[in-house]
Amino acid sequence: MVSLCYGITIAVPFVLNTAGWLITELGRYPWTVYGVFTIEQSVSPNVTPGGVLFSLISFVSIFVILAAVLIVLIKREWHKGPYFSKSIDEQAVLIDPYGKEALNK
Amino acid sequence: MDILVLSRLQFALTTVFHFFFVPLSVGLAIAVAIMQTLYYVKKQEIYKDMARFWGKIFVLSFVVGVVTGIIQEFQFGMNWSEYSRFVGDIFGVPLAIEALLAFFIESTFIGLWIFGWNKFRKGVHLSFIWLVAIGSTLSAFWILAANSFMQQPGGYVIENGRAILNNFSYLFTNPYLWLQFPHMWFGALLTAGCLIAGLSALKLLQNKDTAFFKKSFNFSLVLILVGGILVSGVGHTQTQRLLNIQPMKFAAMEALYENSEDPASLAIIAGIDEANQKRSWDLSLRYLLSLLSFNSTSGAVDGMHTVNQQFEQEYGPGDYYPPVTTMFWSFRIMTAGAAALLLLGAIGAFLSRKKLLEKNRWYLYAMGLPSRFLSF
Amino acid sequence: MNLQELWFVLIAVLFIGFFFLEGFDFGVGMATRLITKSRAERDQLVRTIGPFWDGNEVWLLTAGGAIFAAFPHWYATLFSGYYIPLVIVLLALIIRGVSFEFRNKMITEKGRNVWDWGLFIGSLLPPFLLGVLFTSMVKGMPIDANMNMYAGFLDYISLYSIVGGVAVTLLCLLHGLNFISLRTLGDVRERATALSKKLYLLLYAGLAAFALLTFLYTDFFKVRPVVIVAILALIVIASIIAHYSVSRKKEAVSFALSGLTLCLVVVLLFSGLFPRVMVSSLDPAYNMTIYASSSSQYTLGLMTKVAVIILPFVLAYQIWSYYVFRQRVTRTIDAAE
Repeated sequence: MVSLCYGITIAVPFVLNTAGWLITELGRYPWTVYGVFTIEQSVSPNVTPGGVLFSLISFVSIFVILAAVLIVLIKREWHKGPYFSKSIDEQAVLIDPYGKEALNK
Repeated sequence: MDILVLSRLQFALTTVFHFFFVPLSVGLAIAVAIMQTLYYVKKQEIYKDMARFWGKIFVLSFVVGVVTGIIQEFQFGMNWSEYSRFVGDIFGVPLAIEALLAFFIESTFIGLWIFGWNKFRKGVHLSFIWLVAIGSTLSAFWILAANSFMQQPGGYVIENGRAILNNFSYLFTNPYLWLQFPHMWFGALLTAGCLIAGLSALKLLQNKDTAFFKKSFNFSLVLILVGGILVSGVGHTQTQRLLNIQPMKFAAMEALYENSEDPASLAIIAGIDEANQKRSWDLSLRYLLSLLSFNSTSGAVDGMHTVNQQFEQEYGPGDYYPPVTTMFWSFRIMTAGAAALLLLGAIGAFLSRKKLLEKNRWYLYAMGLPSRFLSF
Repeated sequence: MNLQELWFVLIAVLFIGFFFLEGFDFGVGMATRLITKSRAERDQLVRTIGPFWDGNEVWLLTAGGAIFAAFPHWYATLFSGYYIPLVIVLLALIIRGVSFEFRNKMITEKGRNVWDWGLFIGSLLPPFLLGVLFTSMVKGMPIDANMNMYAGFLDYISLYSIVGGVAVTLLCLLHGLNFISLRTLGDVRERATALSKKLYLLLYAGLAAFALLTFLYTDFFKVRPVVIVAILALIVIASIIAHYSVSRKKEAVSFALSGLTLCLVVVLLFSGLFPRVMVSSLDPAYNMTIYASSSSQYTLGLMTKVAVIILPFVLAYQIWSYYVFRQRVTRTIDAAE
C-alpha cells in the first residue's frame, strides 16, 4: 500500500494564513467596526442558541468532509501525474451510434 | 450556550475554512494563467501540460472555495443582523460590487476555461484563465475593502443611530486596504508556490516525470520568493502602521502589558498570564522592538494597560484586552513560518541553479516532508 | 420613479435572472434521478449545465448583496428571520456545488452514487425552500416593531407556503426538462419531453391552487387586483403555450416560456409585495416598506451607477458563453461504464 505523503511545506502556508487572520480579527476586539460598534451590539437578537448550534455543527461538519475529500482528490490527481491517459480527460464528445438523432442536429 | 460565543465561533470557523482555499485558489489562478501564457508565447507543450495539470488541482480548490464562500455573504444577515442594520449603507456596497464584478467574471469564465480547451483559439482560451485570475483577485479586493472599513472606518457619518456612507472613494482608497490587500495577495502567491513546490518535490523524490516536475518546481520557487519577500515587506509596513491606528492590537501581538522600555525589546517567546494580565516570563532581544517599530534604536511602545485606560476614557469603562496569548503566538508562528519558507525557497533556488537538486534529497524531503499519519 | 422603487425593481430583476438561469440548473439536477437510466446519461445531463451552473448561482449572491446594499433592514430581517431554512438552503447549495466537481472523480461506484444523490438533493431542496420562503414572506411573518422576525416552524410551513414551494420546484423541474429537450440528443431528450408533457397537467393544478391560496392568504387581490389577475393570466397562458410547444417539439419556444413563467411568478410576488419588503403578520403597522428599510440616497445613487455600468457586460458575456456552448450534448461511450 503506497503511503502518499503530504508535505509539511504544503501545509505551512495554511497555518500562516490562519494565524494572520486570527491576529487581525481577534485584535479588533471588542469592536466589529473599530471604535464605533461593538461585537455585542452586532449579534442577531432573534436567532436562538439552538439554531446557531445547529448551523455551526452542520457547516463545520460539511466543511471538514469537503476538505478531506478535496485532499484525497488532489492526491489522486497528483498521483496520476500530468501524462495520465489524456484521451479520457479531454472533452471528447463521441457520438453514440445508437442514439436516435446522432446524425441530425 | 451563549449566542454571542456561538455566533463568533461559527463566523471564525467558517471564515478560517473559507480562507484555507481562497489563497490557494487566487494563487493557483495566477500561476496557471502564467503557465498558459508561457505556453502561448513559447509554444512548448510542457507549459500546456503544466497549465492543465496544476489547473486540475486549481479547479478542485476553486469549487471548494466557492461553496465555502456562499455562506459568508449570508452570514452577516443571518447571525449579525444588528451589524447589518448599522453598517449596511456602507458595508453592503463592496459586497454587492464583489458579486456584480468579481463573482460573475470568475464563475462564468472558469466554466468557459474548463470546457473550452479545444473549442477556442489559443489566445481566446488564454484570456479566460486570466479573467478568472483577475476575477478572484478583484473578489479578494472588495471583500478586503469591506473588512478594511471595519478595521479603519472612514467616509461615513452617524445618522439616526446608523452609519451612513458619504464618501464612496474611501472604501477603495482606505490606507488599511492598500496594505491588507497586497499582503493577502502575495500570501496567496506564496501558498500556491508552496503547494506546487511540495508536490513537485515529492515526485522528484520518486523520480517520476522529472522533467515536468523540475520545471514546475523552478516555477514555484519564483512564486515562493516573490510572494514570500513581498508578503513580509508589506506585513512589516502593516504592523508599523498598527502602532498608530490600532495600538491595542499591536500591544497584544507583542504581549506588552506594561509600557515598554526605551529602547524597546521584542519578546521572541514569552509566558503569558492572561488572567492576571501580565507576562510570567519572556525571552527578549533589546532594541529589536524599537528597530522594527520606529526604524530607530530608540522609542517606546505603549502597553495594553495604558491603551486600555485611553480606551476607557474615549469609549467608556470596560475591558478592551483582546486574546493576547493567541495573538502573540499567531504572530510569531506567522513570521517565523514565512521566514522558514523563504529560506527553503532560497536554498531551492541555489540548488536548482547548481543543478544539485536531485543530489540533495534532504532538501526534497524538507519541501515534501512525508507525514506518515496521512496514508492512503 | 425614485431610487428606492428602482432598486426594488432591480432586485426583482436579479431574482428573475436567478430563477430563469439557476432554475433550469435545479431542474436538470432533479432530472438526473428522474429520466436517466445509466451513468452515461446522467453525465450527459450534467454536461449540459457544466459550464454554466457556477455563473448562474452568482445571480443569487448578487441579489443578496443588492438587498444588503440597498435595503439593509430588509436584508437583516429576512436573513436572520429565515435562519434555519437558509441554513438548509446553503447546505444544499454547497453539496450541489461540489457534487458537480467530485462525482466523476470517485473511484468506487458507491462514491459516485453519493455525489449523484448530493447533486439531486442539492437541486431539489433550494427551489422548494426558496418557494416556501417567498410565499410565506408575502403572506406575512411575525415581525415586531423593531423589524425583528421571531418565526417558528408553523410560521414557515403552512398550506400556502408548501404549495408555493412545490410550485416553484415543479416550475424549475419543467424548465430543466425543457432545457434538456433543447440541448441534448438521444434517449434523454425523448424522456424529458415526455415527462414535461405529463407534468404540465400537474402544473395547472398547482397554479390553480396557488392562485386560490394567494387570494385567501394575501392581500394581493385587494391591493392591485388588475395587475395581479393580469400576471396570473399571463402565467396560465404561458404555461398553456409551453405545454403545446412541448408536444409539438418546439423546444426553444417551450424553454423560453417555462423560463418566462418562472419570471412571471417572481414578478407576481414582487408586484403584490410593493411597496413593502416584508409583511408583518402581527400588525400591519410593522410592515417594512422600501422607504423605511433602504440605504441613504447617496448609497442608492452610487449603486445605481455601478449596476448600470457593470450589468450590461455581465449579460453580454453570459449570453456569449451560452452561445459558444450551444451545440447539443450527446451521450459519450465510456469504456468504464
